[in-house]
Amino acid sequence: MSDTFRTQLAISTGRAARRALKLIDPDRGTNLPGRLALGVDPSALRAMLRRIDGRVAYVSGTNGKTTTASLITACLRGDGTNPISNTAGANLTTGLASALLTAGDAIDAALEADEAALLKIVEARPPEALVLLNLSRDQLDRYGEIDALMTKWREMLDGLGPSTRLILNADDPRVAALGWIKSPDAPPRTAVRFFGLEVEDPAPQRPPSDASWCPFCEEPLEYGRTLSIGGGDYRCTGCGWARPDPDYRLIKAKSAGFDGFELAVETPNGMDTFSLRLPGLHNAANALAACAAASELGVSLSTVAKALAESRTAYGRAEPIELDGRAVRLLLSKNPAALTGSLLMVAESERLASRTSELPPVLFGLNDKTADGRDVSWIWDVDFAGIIGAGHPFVASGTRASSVALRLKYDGWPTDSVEVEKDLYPALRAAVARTPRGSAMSALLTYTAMRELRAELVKRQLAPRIH
Amino acid sequence: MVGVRDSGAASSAEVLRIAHLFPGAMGLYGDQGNVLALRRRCEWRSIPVEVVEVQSGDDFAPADWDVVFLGGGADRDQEAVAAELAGMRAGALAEAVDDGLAMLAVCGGYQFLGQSYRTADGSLLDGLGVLPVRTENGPGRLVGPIEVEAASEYGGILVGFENHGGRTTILEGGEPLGVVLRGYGNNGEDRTEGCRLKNCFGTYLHGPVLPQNPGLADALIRAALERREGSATVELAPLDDRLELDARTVAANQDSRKKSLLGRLGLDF
Repeated sequence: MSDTFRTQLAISTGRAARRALKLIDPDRGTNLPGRLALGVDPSALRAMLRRIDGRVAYVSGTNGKTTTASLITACLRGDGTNPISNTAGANLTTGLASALLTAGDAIDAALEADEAALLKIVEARPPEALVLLNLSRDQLDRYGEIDALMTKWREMLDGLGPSTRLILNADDPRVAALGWIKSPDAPPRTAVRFFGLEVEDPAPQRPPSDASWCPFCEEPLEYGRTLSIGGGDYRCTGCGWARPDPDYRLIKAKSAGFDGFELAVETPNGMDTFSLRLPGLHNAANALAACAAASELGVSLSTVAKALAESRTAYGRAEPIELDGRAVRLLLSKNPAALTGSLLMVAESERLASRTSELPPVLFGLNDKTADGRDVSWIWDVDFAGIIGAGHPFVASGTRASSVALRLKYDGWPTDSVEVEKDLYPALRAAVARTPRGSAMSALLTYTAMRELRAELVKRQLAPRIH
Repeated sequence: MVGVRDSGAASSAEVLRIAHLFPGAMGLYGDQGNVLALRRRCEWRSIPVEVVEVQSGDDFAPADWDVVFLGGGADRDQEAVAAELAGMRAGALAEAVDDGLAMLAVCGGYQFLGQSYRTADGSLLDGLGVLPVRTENGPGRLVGPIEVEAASEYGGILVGFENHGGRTTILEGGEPLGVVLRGYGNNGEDRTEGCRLKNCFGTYLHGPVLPQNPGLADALIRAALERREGSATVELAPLDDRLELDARTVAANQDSRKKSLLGRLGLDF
């Protein structure tokens, strides 16, 4: 396919900008080059996507996009190709365009896309595998309500041909329902593969209020097993529609706290066990989703298991950093489900550690910039006290540090047990100073808080650069 | 109904009973924080308090309660609750409000308390007729930080975050909760925000509104105590609200522009 002059100009402009930015700061260039290229020619994204003639996977959903896409990338690499990826979490059209500018002659791609950007790239170039992870409340001021988004996704899926494998989460009723064309009376779409967790979840359970109605008949759903990360085993009390039997199942997840899991998966290609060095049950679910996508793209199960076992945390996703002889975990926590997941990980690791000294503090950096969602009321939907216990040592930080402190006060924290420090790096130093030497502490951060703190750590040569 | 642990009898006084209507379906945007704020501010003053979650299908008699809270939900959840509420002695709720029942309704809950709601496709849904307001779905959503000047007995300056597609108009006899200093309020045009009738408050403010506007929280508690004790003035013990007021100040200073200049250039890191 030959590009128009305008498209070629767009791509050269973007590439030049990328080279220039890299000279100034190697961590930059995840958005601006794409923005410039799309400014010159809005159709450049489509043109660049259509050049990829190998295997393409898109990943979307509220949480887990970055990790799942990077795990699929690892599987494709294990399979001998060098796929394009946008693994810095730059998942809007500008970030996708920036990633594609570097493509060279790569033939495969594993791309994460924001819930809205997904519609555009699927239309531009349908993928071979489309992974939809989960849907929960996230930045309602940006995306509007989940039900409206689901309607758009359904229309998108109706327009896809049979060459796109749909990899859907059976445990999330709203995502699973997308596997059917209109009503559950007919069989699911032919190209659909479900993945689901069939393990005991020892973490505290709460009613899955985000997904309490049947997506088909709107009667209440009844849950048997529920998962701390949301969803579970459901059946509609009205029409009888129930969680589909997964094609890819997680049948064992033995937790080793922040060190990850021993996992066992059952797939249409057989069974395998491997260790996953990513903590948190949500990451076990992400690994299962990646396993399903890679398998459907033709990667063998043994290659998948090896690639997953060798994978390490993605940028800012439980990324371990060392500071003054203490381990610091950076945990992206940008919405109720993700923050709940992070707190569960902290609680789980503290439960596993036989501890004699004082608990290390938890730092939560809450920013309210555009990319974080400017409405911070979602922190009131997270059960801080129920997960880590009221009074747990805490450092509140970010542009809305005072809102965090207020939330904790009403959840039972004595005011003097919460340290408030708006600036992220000084807050981290304060938290580290209160962490016993040889112990680990966790920093939970919204999107721009993560970028800001990480940039500061890179500047001080305390964290590696992204690329 | 599910009882949520009461705070133990710190005094022999009667327990202040708070009903939280449909917390599951009508619980978007952290609005459950409002109920927590009421509960804690009673507990901190040793006022015995009990919060009960009223679920779909429960028998709910408005006159049995001291405070009633109703939040907002996603469109679909809201429709399911609309049917439920309509069958729920709307008349009894209006009577209780007329009798001085302390009530707070936020966003979708506020719209429900009105006379009617005209949806995007033009159909007209009946409201509960408790508050003299009418709401119509408008083009686009009104989203952003909001600051309102209310009477000092309701907390003075109120700060929150609004996110609504409905445009609400106050009808004859109605009184706004406050005047919009920044943001949209009821409809983005007449600078009114919310509606108050006796001790019943409807508002578009999320945040949630009560924790960071403790004056409004205390106004509800005071009204409930006054109604129960039949006394004209109840003095609430003062609390240390420094953290509440800090959070309110920071929220009030939140940038209301949709994107900063750097954000427009993709540099809003």
